[in-house]
Amino acid sequence: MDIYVQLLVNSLQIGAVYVLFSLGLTLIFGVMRIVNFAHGEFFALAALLVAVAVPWLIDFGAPLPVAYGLAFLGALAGVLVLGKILYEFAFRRFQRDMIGSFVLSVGLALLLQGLYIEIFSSASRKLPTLIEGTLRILGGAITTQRLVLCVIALLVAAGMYWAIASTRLGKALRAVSEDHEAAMLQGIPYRRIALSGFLIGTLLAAVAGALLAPVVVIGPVIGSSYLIKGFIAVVIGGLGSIPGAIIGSILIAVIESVGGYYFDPSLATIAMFVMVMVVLLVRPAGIMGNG
Amino acid sequence: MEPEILLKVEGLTRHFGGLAAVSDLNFEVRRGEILGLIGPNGAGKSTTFNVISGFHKPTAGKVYFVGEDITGRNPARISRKGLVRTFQHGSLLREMTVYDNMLVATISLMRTRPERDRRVRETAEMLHLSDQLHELVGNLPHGLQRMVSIAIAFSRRSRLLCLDEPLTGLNQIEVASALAIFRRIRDEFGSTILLVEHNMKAVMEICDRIVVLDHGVFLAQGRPIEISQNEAVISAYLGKRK
Amino acid sequence: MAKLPRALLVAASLCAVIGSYFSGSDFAANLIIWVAINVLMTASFRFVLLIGELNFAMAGFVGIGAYAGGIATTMYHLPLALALLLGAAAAGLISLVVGFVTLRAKGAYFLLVSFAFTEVLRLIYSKVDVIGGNSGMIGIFPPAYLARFYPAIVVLVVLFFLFVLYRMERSDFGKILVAIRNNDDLVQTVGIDVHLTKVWCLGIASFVTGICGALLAHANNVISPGDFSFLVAVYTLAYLKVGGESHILGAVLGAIVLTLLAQYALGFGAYEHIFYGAAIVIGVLLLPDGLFGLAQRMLSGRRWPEGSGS
Repeated sequence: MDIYVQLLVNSLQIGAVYVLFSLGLTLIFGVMRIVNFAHGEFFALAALLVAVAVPWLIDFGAPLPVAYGLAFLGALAGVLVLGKILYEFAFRRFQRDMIGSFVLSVGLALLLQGLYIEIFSSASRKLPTLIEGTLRILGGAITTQRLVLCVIALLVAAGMYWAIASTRLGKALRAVSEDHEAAMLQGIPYRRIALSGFLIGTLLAAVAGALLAPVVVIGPVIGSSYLIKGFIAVVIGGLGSIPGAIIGSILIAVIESVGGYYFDPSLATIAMFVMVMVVLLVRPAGIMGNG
Repeated sequence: MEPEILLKVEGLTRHFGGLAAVSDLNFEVRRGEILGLIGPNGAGKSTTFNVISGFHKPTAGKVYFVGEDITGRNPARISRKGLVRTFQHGSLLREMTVYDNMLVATISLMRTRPERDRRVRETAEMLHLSDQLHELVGNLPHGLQRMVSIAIAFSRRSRLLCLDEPLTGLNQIEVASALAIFRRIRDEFGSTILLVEHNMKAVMEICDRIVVLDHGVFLAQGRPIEISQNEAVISAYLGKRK
Repeated sequence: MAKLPRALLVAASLCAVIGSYFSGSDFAANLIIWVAINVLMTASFRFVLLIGELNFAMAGFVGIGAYAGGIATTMYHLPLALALLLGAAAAGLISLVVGFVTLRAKGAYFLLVSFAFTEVLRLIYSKVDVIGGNSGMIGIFPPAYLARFYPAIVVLVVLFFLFVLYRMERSDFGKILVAIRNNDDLVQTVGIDVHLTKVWCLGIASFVTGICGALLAHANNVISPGDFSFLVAVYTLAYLKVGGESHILGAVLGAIVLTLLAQYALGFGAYEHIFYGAAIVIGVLLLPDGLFGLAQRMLSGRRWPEGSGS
């Protein structure tokens, strides 16, 4: 019994990060109809900025929580700036052009990752633990820090879900996702909404990255592995669908933790890929998608 | 003499996520006629076309073409049996020349380039497109683009041409020219035409018979003059006006 | 579109073949082989772009060609020509099966399935010990008496298949492919089975890709699963974007220019990522028709591109 709970707990914590990551990816696709292969690099940048800023701030004499707090904010701000720049100079011209934007984002992802390797060096970093302690929940162990990460991530995801459903901006985002021409006819300012959607999606990736930094060893190529899994989650759930992204992420997380435990991680990866292929062939629009 | 029935639609029903786009539709298309399929917006005309031509599977019912059951077959197979359709919004390859647009239509019919080339040129001449053969379709004015979509379909010399709103956006002269071509297609080549159209004047002028749909259900059928005096049809259309 | 003088092309090809025989140093010989293989890979990637799909499964088929060719040579000691053909056939046949299943998906979905396929293959290679597992296969050499001629052989084979792809593109079959990219519903409606045609397109492209893989195996003499990651398709995409998509010579130009540039630009590791990433970004943002389109425009006196590339 214990092992199942542990696996569940592991799935939950892996899943929390994937959920945030995928929500961003699917939101950007929904609003702008672009497949942003560089999404992982926004995520990575946030993690790297936190990983670099915290030790630096500590050296300056800042107490640990303050260092983390400032680092988080700095990371989010940094990623948002990068996102705005890339949007203005690159993505804006390619919205609704799936192939063109994809190709561009591939180039950007490669370029950014190369820059990260240069700037942040290949050495991986481990940060000092923010919150000490381990908890036991129903027989499964989880470090308090990871639990907090999990809870925050899930709160953000829930908040996003609520915001999309209830706020004006959320409704506008949904309208544009469903039928951008009809939305424009109804007076929704497409350009502004597209930018908002892109920035919110990017911010979600950044939050995921920043939350991950204290918990996992951060290296400059971390964007790629999360990107692939995030993509799988989003495609399985249905590109553009928010509930789909959540379902897909949880599925991926479960496969990863269960597969990694009973078999080896690369077999788990193969299983995920095979599953993607099967889902895409049986239900090409994804579980919740509508094409 | 019994008119030969080219296309027969029996009990055709198609549901779309809870809505019945078409319900229990029955009608037939006779060889050599020009049959009009009309009805207010949302009547189910495009859905009917999509099912007949194999782009959607019906929820229930059958489609027979020259006596053969073609229900649910894939569009390419149906096309090779002699039924070709056009699409409402652009039945065209915009980035290719007029010549290539028609050429592609002949590929599954003929094996050699010279044969295909001859068919393309003959068709172009009939539809007054010979001067535009090497123009990119996307650069042509709207009226000519419509002609090209008809040309693509007609290149196949199919037994049945299903034309989905071919006259949209054409001015009066262009409409007259198109109608003359439809008549030639029917008279000289023996093809049958099933026509969905909103241009009532043209429909009344060119069609031998008319089938009227409303809300996915069969409303009436008959000759143009009968339909124009049919009370149910009139109220269906009037009821839709805002 | 300017028609390039045939004579010029034939002359250039002859020079390439002869020049590669007399290439002298090992470094030059290897460079020529590398460039030539990249040219053919880019052309075959472009062939699938004719139906509007980005063939990110390409690395998988390069790998199949490489391993099949490698097995033919090292385990069965077959002549080089046969090894190449076997590599091509294996890649082509497997692609027909894979394509039949995966080409039902389009756009972003096809991309992901293709990517997944490549990664699955790579993981499988690393687990199968008879072909070397994670360390890969070694000792794949062309027969000793041919070794001198190998660069010329590669160039010849590449030129031959370039020509084949070019002719296919210009044929009526090629027009169907472009038509499918334009409006695949219309193509169905004129009696052509779009799905099967797409599968054939992938099959032809993968046959050629398989040749590339087999040529690569005999050139490097060592292959391992890591050589066949999806980055192969990404780099090929860079060559195509920089060279220009609208004509096969764009693929040739892009591959030549970028491969040579990459050699002289910088070393390994991150610089490679930055180089190729920047190449793609610059290609997409500043050179919508690529270098070939730019050259055409300059030669015909126009300054600005007529809308974006295909």
